[in-house]
Amino acid sequence: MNNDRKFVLSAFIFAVPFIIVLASYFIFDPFKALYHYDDYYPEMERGPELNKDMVTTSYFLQQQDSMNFNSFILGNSRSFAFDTKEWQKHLPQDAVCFHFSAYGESLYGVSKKVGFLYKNATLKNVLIVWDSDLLAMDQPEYSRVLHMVTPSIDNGSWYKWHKCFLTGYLTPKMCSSFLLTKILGRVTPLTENVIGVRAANYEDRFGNLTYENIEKKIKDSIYYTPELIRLFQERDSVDVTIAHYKPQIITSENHKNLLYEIKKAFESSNTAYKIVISPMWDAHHINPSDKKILENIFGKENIYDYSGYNSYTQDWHNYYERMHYRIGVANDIMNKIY
Amino acid sequence: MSFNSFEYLVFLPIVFLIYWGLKNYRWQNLFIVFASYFFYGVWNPKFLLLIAFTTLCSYISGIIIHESKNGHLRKTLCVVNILVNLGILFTYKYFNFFADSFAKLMDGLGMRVDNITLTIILPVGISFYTFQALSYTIDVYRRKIDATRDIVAFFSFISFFPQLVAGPIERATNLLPQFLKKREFDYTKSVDGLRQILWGLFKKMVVADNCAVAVNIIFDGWNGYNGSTLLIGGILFSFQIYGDFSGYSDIAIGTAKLFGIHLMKNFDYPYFSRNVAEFWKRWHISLNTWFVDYVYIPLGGSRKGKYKHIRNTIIIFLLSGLWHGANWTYVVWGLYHGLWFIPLLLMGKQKTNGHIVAENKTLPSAKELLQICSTFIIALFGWIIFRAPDISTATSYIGKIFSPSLFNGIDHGIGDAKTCFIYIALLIILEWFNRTKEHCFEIQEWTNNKALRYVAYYAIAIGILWVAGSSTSFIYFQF
Repeated sequence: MNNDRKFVLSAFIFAVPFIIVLASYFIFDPFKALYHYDDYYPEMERGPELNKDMVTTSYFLQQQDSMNFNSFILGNSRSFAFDTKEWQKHLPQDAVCFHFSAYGESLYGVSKKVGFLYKNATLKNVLIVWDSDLLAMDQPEYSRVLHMVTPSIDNGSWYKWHKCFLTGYLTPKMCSSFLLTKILGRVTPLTENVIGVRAANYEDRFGNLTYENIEKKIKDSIYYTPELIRLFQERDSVDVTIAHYKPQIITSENHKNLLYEIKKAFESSNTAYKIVISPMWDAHHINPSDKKILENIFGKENIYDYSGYNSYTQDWHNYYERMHYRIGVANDIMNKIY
Repeated sequence: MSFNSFEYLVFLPIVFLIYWGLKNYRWQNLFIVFASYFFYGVWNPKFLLLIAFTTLCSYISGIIIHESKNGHLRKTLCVVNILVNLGILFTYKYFNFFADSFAKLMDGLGMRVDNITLTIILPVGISFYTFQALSYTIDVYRRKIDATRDIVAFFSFISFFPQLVAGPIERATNLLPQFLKKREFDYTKSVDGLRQILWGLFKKMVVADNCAVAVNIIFDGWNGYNGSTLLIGGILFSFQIYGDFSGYSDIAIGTAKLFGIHLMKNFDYPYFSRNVAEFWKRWHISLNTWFVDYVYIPLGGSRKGKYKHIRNTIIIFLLSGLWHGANWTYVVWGLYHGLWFIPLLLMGKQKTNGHIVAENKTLPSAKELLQICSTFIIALFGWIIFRAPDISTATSYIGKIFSPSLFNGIDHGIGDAKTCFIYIALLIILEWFNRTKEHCFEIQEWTNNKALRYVAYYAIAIGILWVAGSSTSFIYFQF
């Protein structure tokens, strides 16, 4: 055999295991990013966490013709506490609600979703739930699988979108955990940090997340472990009753442009909208300069600031963990603002 | 595209298969140009015109310089070509820096001037391919090499993708002749090339990218850390830049081997140097020898008396610093090394240590170990100056290391520095025991058993992927 063919053959043989792993991505579609799915969360299916932006976008597109959604909750994972069924009670009867949220949602993502909905739906009612984390991010994200905005929404790069999923899968931890789970048919201690049972928390095809399991554990007094409580108490090193403020986030022209794009879409659609600044456990107020900018753009009457130290943030029982408050808090906020 | 990217993993095998599928070397050269321009165009397609212009200028001037018998014309053309290429480099890389520095100087003298700066994007690799083109023109002028009329071979020489964006800065006398003749596929060299690529990826993805996390945290928030932490930051950056840059060179050289092309060595275990002079013979060899051959020697080198010897030495260190970028930190870094070099020069010790440290011995002697450590410490403080955003920060950073807080414990929240030191220790051990070899993954010498070698390859490849740090771009791309 010629030397060059011998080399190519040897290299190919060496690459076979890697080629098999690559092929497994296209066969199993672990992030459900390649093919169409009617249901992204079949019961008890195990796999890596899915990109929530992709799921909600797909559910929206599948149902919009039949449902004619006209009322939307937007925001990052803090918005999961706001259920569309509860929200519906505060809206006119013709409201058809959809929770168009995403993990790690950004200002960029919200702005592009509003633009997308402006073209593809009626923006009758909108509830935006955000915080400084969301406001900070004004650029598309292509490095983290869970945090990308679907190119259908922002006309972004499909190549970068799919490349992120592929390279995210091709890390040794991810593909070994996934393939081991597929082979064994169950999650093991080795893989449980990467692979979970997806269907545990998702309720419906309207983008809502259910906290039923967690709420039951809280009711049965088995949810708040000493470790979890200790994490809440880490805040005690700072006197949060004294006002602390987040650093200013809205500093660039791009930030402001994204906010103005949202406002313009709302104005054109005569949207009834409300913006909730989440009561984060750190009890830090939104930066006053940021708040002023938001009020100038959206109107003081539409901004509901629950940041800082208040009746919600003073009690850890209002939270599932330090980053997410309970549905009771969200329901109470909705009762107040509507 | 970066060498440690998914795109390169797809690009390289395709280019390799097509290249060797073309039996005629002229078609191979044409394909190399196409592939290299594609590779470069992925960064920013607008700069393809710039590299094409530089290449064409050098090609045409080379022919005229070579053909002309008029010494005056030859010299003029050579100078014009140098000025054109350096002019382009200056505009893209240094215009804003000098404009800004000039404005500040005038301001300091009480004369206000309008600060004119341009909105310029620095083309990737411009410093590297410009110097490579210049070396050709000068070597043709000096009659060290004949000018080539083979335009495709010349374009291949300038744009050869493995070394296009971060070196080694090749000499026409080494690289151009390889594009003017048939290349034979060499199985042994190609396999060795793959091993060298693997070694380069280890240095980049395991050592450099992991160190980068802690380095960025420490240097960004240096004012809030103890001297001990800042010292850790300096050590980690010393290995980050070494892993990053030498890793890139290894991948470039290994890739070139796959195509039957030999590139020059660019790093020769510099952290085992026993003094600064030896360090500069082992660090970024292609750049340093370029400055020696094209600046130092034309200025007179060491032949015009002690004063001019020192002057010429300082000049090339300053230029070497400035080459790295438009910031006074790079210039000061160059000067810093120059100042450490001068005493050796005055003692006539700049040319010693031509042999490998601890030659034919397993371990260094106590004296050699002391020399290695002291040279590393000198380099370390130089790297702090190099990495700092400005001189003031560099001075304060180093000042804080020499404060009582040096004896305080290392701060928390600086990333996983402990694991970085494990990787650094592994790097040092591998390099020490392979310091006579071209690279450290000459696995064919570990065992004759092919199956065991394959196991080693898999273990290394998966190990690299498993512990790789978050991907960062190669540091020297910004130069």
